[in-house]
Amino acid sequence: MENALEIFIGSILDHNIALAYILGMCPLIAISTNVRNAKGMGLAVVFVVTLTGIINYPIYLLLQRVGVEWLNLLVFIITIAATVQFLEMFIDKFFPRLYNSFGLFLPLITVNCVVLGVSLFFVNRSYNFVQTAAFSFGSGIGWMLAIILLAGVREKMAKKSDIPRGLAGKGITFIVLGILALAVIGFTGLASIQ
Amino acid sequence: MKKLIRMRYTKWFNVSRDGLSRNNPIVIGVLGICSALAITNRVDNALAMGAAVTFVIMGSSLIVSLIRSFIPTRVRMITYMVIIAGLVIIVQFFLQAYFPQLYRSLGAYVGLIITNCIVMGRAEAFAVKNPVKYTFFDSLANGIGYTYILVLIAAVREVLAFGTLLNYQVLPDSFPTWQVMAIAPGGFFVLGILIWIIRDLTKNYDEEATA
Amino acid sequence: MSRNQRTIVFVFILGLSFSLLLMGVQSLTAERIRLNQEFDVQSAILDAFDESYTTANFNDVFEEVMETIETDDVVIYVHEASGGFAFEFSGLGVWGPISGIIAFESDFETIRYVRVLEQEETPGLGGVVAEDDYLAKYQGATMNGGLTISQTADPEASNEVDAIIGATRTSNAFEGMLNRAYEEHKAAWDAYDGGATT
Repeated sequence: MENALEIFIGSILDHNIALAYILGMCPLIAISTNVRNAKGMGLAVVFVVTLTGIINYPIYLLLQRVGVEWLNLLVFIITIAATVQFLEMFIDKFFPRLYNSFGLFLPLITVNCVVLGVSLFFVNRSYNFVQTAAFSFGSGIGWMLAIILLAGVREKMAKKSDIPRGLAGKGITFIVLGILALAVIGFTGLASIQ
Repeated sequence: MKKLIRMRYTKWFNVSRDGLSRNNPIVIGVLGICSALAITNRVDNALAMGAAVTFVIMGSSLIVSLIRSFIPTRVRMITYMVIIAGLVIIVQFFLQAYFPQLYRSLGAYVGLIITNCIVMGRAEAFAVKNPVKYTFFDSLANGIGYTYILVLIAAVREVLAFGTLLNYQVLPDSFPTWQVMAIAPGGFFVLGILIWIIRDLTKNYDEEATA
Repeated sequence: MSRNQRTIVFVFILGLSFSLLLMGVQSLTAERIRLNQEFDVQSAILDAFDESYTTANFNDVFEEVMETIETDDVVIYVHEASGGFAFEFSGLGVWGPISGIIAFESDFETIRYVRVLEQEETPGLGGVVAEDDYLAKYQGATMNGGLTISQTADPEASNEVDAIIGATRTSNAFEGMLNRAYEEHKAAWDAYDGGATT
């Protein structure tokens, strides 16, 4: 419990879910062409990941008690789909301005592996509730950090750089991601996620 | 427009070629990257992952295609999800029962096949609109297209990172193993360069980026 | 309304058929999965005590040569011929859970054998923890006063073992989980043994 803060920091930096575990790549590549969209998507992910992590934790305990934890995949993905749907309606109704800034990205999140990945990882690492919450929130922030960094680089690159034709677009994006991932390795040892 | 799309898909080899090369899910579509990079530091992992994904794509596409006239449009997505999640759980059981070693090295990434965009993408883009026989070729081609790229990436990474191929030593012991290749950055670099090579060879450039 | 009804019926049938399918597959594979897990642990322990077995008869061999003692929520396996001990350990490494088995000589202090069954450490760095060549270094080390795994291990001291080069944190985690498991099992054994003889 006392290491919740450490887990939080660790999951943002040295165990970054996008750059170290390579999760959530599809939207990371697709929506990182400009910083504004990247921020919207990042916020949406932070929101959904934190919420579903917190919701899935008691559900997993329940499954465990009944003895059908092998159903966790099915149950997690349905919880995630339902949460996203509900969140979309809720934000649309009560916070229309917020909806304009990131609501569009919400439906895409159901198939973002970060969300399911976080739920599967807390099971694997047998976290308690506080640790799960810290890990979910940290992973969301970590993913947002990755997409904003990537979008920043890509935005500048689109204006200034002369990239070989075959490498342009997706190819160079992976090279940039590789360099970002190397940078994250520099934080190794900063915090433990146990 | 709809007619045109149908026309293009009427021949099974067209469908297969699309999945294998012209619209290869990884290299051109950039879908399903998470598993493509996370587990491809060894060829045997890549083969297992490819087989598992092919099975799930084929199973889900065929089921969706079979019941496509019964699926209510509103609950379409959740239907795909239930079907895919069910198949993935079956794959998990199968690996645990018959290939425990592989199951251990793939870890949570087996479960993450559910969110592999290719699976969902093929169900929504092809299976739900097409009869079973074309769906069969489409899903098979996409599965194999996915698998061979995975194996290609894994082969490069395994040789450079461990000096082995399918766990057989191929490089002399004096070769300094290149650890970075085994972890995330190596995967990104290899895939980036692979995309470059394939796009240059096929002259199929990224339109939005070059425009 | 009829469309709504159709939707509900569809979802119901879909859910039902998939639940049945999954339950079927689960019951078909459950036995094999349990056997696999048993095989991992038992074959490792049999290897530790140099017993020979095949994939078909490992379970019988194990039951013949090992005595399983459950006490104080821990399970300790005793090798009847040599009086050696073995138990499972687990803990969190840097990237994910690490688990395995460790075997001791009859003094319950000198390490006879260590095998890691599960780990997700960086291949080539922390992943070395599962390699037999590395684990062979533990053979003959003692737990007396706690095991120390460090880069500057003193070859003379019997309770010090070399850490993995470039993976200090995995080594630290491994040291922690071995010592923890040892203390827990040793205490449980002492309580059990003391109770049995007196």
